Amino acid sequence: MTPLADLLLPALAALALLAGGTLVGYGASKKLITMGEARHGLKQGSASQLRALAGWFWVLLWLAVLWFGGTIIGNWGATGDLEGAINRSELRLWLLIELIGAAAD
Amino acid sequence: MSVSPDIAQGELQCPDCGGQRRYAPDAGALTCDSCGSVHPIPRDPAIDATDDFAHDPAAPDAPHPPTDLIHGCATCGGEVIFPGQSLAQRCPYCDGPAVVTTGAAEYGTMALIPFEQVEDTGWHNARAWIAGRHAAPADLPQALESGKLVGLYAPFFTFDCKEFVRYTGRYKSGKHHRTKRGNLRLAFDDLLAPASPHITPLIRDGVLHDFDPSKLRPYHPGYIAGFAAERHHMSVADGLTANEADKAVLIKNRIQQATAERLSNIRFETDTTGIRYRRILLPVWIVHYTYKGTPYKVVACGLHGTTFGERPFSTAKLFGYAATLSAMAIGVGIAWGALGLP
Repeated sequence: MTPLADLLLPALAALALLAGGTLVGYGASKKLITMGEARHGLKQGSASQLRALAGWFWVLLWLAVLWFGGTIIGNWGATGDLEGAINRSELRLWLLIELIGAAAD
Repeated sequence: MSVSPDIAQGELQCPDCGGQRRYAPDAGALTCDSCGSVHPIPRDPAIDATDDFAHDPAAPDAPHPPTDLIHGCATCGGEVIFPGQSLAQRCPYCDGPAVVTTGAAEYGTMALIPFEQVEDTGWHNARAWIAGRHAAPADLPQALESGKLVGLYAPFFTFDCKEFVRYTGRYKSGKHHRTKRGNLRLAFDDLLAPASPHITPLIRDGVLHDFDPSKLRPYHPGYIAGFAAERHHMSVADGLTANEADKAVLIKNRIQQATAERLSNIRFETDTTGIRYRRILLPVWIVHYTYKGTPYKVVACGLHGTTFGERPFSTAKLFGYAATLSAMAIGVGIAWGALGLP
């Protein structure tokens, strides 16, 4: 492939990831704003505030998945080797799963 | 305590000119609509409004027939009184039409905290709250301006109680999940509980942050003249039951705070003793507004102005936020991957 094509495919993949992330992120953004309003507007430690802050995990998961997808695309763009980029992301994936699992507990 | 309509209306007439009086929060007294004279509300020094009462589950409290002219809402079923006003009324909870009805049996209100903030402040707080919303439609402030503000005395219980809690919870230790068991003694003091299905926990936790019992006054119809008020229709036992879900959230939070481990899947049983209660009314300003045909409300505390409410979101702005956050997460990821970081 030409150098331009080497960058074009990762760029298209990044755009596709951005489009998917935006679609999924509609609800997550709403949740983030609702959580921010609950954090500042509701009584500290009240039942309503505790309930409103309960869904933060899904927001974290959304951002983590996008970040992880971005790391593969970035590595792919830099090396031109998609398969290698996926293989190299394996350790990162396990670390991410551990971190998310710890946060979810 | 309940007062018959005739007595209430008599007390609300101006002794100087016979005009109608209403409670003015800025003066802290009754003012006459006709001659403007100001009259403080008499207080019986023998009554301590901060007193609370022991709840005996074996001797349930008995309601008495309604003594006030009740307005029932045809839309949401809310029942309110409007002392000192004779205009056609709307329901303060949902803005639906309210008509005179016989009303359900009621319990005497023991005390209330009078409004301290005037109507203009209620509007100001609602506007400021709407202006501070992220991802709100651009024309939301205009929609609020077409709304209607109503001052309402909302019914609440205050509960004191002691809890002996036995709990279990799961926590992670290394690679293993373990179970923790423990006991905890808790005390709740002046826990506010809505005494009406129309008062959502969001109203309580959104606007009534700081309950100060020293501000309680013995019930007198003069305080609610010019405002709407809902009577207490809930027995103490029903109030305790309605508050169980919220109390469970608070107990789980206290358990979490009391343990060194980060617990999940918390389960508990509790023995509740020493229940004491008050039936009180608390003042809120409610703005009812509609946006694209959907009704919303913004509620401001009638004491401190703390404000919370319901609001629509702008779809375009939410997608904008989602796209920005997605781009940031992906961008950091791309840089991470391009640098070959682990």
